[in-house]
Amino acid sequence: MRRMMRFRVVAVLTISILLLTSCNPALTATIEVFTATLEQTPTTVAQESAGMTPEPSQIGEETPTPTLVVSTAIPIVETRLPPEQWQEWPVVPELTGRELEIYQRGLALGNDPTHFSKVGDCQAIKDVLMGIYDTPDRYFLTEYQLYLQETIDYFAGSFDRDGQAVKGGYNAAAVISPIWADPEVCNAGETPIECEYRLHKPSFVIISLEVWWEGRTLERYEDYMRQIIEFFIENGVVPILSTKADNVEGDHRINLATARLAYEYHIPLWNFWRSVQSMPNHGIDPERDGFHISYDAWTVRSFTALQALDAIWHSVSEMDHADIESTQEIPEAEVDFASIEIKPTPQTTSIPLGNENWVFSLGQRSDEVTRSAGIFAYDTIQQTLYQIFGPGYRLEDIDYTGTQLLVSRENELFLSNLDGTTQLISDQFASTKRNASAFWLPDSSRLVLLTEEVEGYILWMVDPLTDTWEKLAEGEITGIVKPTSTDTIYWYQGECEPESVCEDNTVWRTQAGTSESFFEFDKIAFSFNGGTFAWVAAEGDNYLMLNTSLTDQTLQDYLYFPGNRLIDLVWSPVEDSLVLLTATRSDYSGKSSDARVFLVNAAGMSYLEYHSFPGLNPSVHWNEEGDEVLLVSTLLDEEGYQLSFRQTDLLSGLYDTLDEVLSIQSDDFIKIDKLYWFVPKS
Amino acid sequence: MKLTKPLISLALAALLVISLSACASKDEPAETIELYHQALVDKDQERLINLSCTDWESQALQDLDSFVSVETTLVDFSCQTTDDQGDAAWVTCEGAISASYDGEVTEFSLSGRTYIAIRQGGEWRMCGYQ
Repeated sequence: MRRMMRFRVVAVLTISILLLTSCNPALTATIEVFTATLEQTPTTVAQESAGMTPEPSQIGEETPTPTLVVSTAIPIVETRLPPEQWQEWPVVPELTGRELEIYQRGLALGNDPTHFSKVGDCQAIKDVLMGIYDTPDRYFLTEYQLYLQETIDYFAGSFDRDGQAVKGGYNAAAVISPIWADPEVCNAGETPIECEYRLHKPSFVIISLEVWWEGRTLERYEDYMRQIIEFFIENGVVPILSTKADNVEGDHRINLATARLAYEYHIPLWNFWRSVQSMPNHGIDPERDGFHISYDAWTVRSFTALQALDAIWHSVSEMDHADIESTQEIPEAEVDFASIEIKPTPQTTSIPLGNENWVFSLGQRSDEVTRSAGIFAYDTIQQTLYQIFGPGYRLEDIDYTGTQLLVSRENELFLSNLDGTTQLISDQFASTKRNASAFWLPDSSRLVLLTEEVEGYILWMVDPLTDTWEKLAEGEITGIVKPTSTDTIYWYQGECEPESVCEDNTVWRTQAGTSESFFEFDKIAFSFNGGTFAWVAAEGDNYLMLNTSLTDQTLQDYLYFPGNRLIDLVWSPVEDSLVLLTATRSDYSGKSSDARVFLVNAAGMSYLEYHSFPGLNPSVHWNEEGDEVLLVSTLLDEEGYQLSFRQTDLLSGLYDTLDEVLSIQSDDFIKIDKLYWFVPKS
Repeated sequence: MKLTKPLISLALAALLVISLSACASKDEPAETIELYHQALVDKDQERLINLSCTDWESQALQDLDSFVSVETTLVDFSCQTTDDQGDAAWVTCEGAISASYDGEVTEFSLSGRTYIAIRQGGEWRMCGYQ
């Protein structure tokens, strides 16, 4: 009996231990398996959170050697109206120039030139979008539409299929979420678009994601769309975006966002919205929810999509067969630039010394080709205009003594005295998108400049008198910060996409032959003595936060300003104050408000606001004494584009508009590329 | 002496009950994964973020956004922890998300994955899957 009782005790204890053990399986053996498995699958977020991946190496320890981004040799020609006017964009898109580069890369990657895919929701399923073209008795082409038969034949098999990236209920987030991929045909972890690409290897993709999502921000939609677009571009598939017929969101913000993305990435947009405007109820089914299109609109949808595909495919394939060398550049001579009317008539004599001058480069754009229309100087005392250099030359910088200019022409950089004599500094000069590739140092005897070599960009310090060159840094350098010291040079590292802002850049600092990461931001500005720097960050939808910090980063301060776009940020040349230009851009219309002008006392972090001013490309420029600023912009009226100059006294707040004495206008878009307000000296 | 046997039996039974209740009470990592998916189908963004580790928040939002156009429910969903290291745990689940759009129902299986929960800020949070 006693033995029986002992057995029961042991049995119950054993069961209890087993049960407790099963509740907490953290045994040594399983821990080893857990860790090993994690190491084999390094993609989960949890590993980083659990500290299981190595710490990233510290930035700022060495000079970067980033990979140079190889730009396309094909010029990107944006002939479209601004995205804000997307409703006027043609239904059938025209090439921007980027499609060929994407298409050719795709062919090299093994994409099938006869395949296209669709990415979309219920209004992209094959019954609604082009499925008919795989069944000859379901469509009819008129005499004027017969040209499309070639495209129908060429892409046969792609029309009447949904693929893995079309499904009712899909939206921009769903097509990049693995959970939505069909597990029967897609690999584990694949997103629907990745799965579709792997299975079909298309050369073109029509992206038509139309569902508005209540309570979600436009930024999230754009973020997902960017991931989709960039995935296809990276894989050599030409994306064709689409506007939608409905306006469930009430202000067309989805279509505007889509147009912006098409414009930014230089990719085609099939303007379906425009194609149904003449239809009853604008192509929307009146019996349904305001989102779904009518049965009649299905035909228009399929037909205009076919036209879009036809246009892009024909253009790309024709260019692909053409001599690519002949398309590498559009010579300026082939572009018909409009004349520029300038008053007063520019003089070609030397600039008189001793008077205040505005020296500036004048930019001109025609047929999306931009050139410099020359370098001019306006004597504000004598009210006389001088042309210092003709078309093709750009102003880079003026030295601190006001006697020597740095001037560029394509890959050449020249030093120019005010008497017109020039000295070639480099024939490998690299002008980056920041328009900040050459500056004088404060000693006015040496300069820093960028050259472009096979390996990338090189930052040099040059003494032009002795022709001494010292390499400071090399890599993916996107621009130089105008130096305020001869000992310390700041420069930007990162990428600047063509026709887009420079993003995700890091500011580097080179001192005593050593380069280190200084600050991660796309744009900063240093005070006149280099002791303080400032940058601006968005704060919600309606405010900007101006931050200032000492360069040793021991003290930081901030101030809020109205607006959601930083236009310009320029420090005074003589004291710790700066002028900040901001604007508010409407998410609805895409239009920007007039530029608002703030003078900020950086020491006390207080500010004064001055009269706002209208126009495109507004910028601000200080005089040498730091008591006046010149506000410049481009105005558009029925007579074309004209430059606006407004000279503002910072003490009184009064300003003079100089339209009567200095007038520069053209039918082409014109703008001030760079301007310095200085007094020429001997 | 006659009381000894019932007392021992009672004590052993109590021990068994304590063991079982300890086992049944808290499988917190699994419960977190269940709650996370419930918040996902409920489209409760705030709760979803609260149940996500910091690094998973953006993916959680994307998952949430991906279902915003469809009606969702959980089907026969339950989870259990397979490995608990104290601050990180592995969880497996059975069941699916049922999504309905315009009368068409699609089921997204939640089985066959290993979910990862980590303890962050003193709370268990969903932090990815494999």
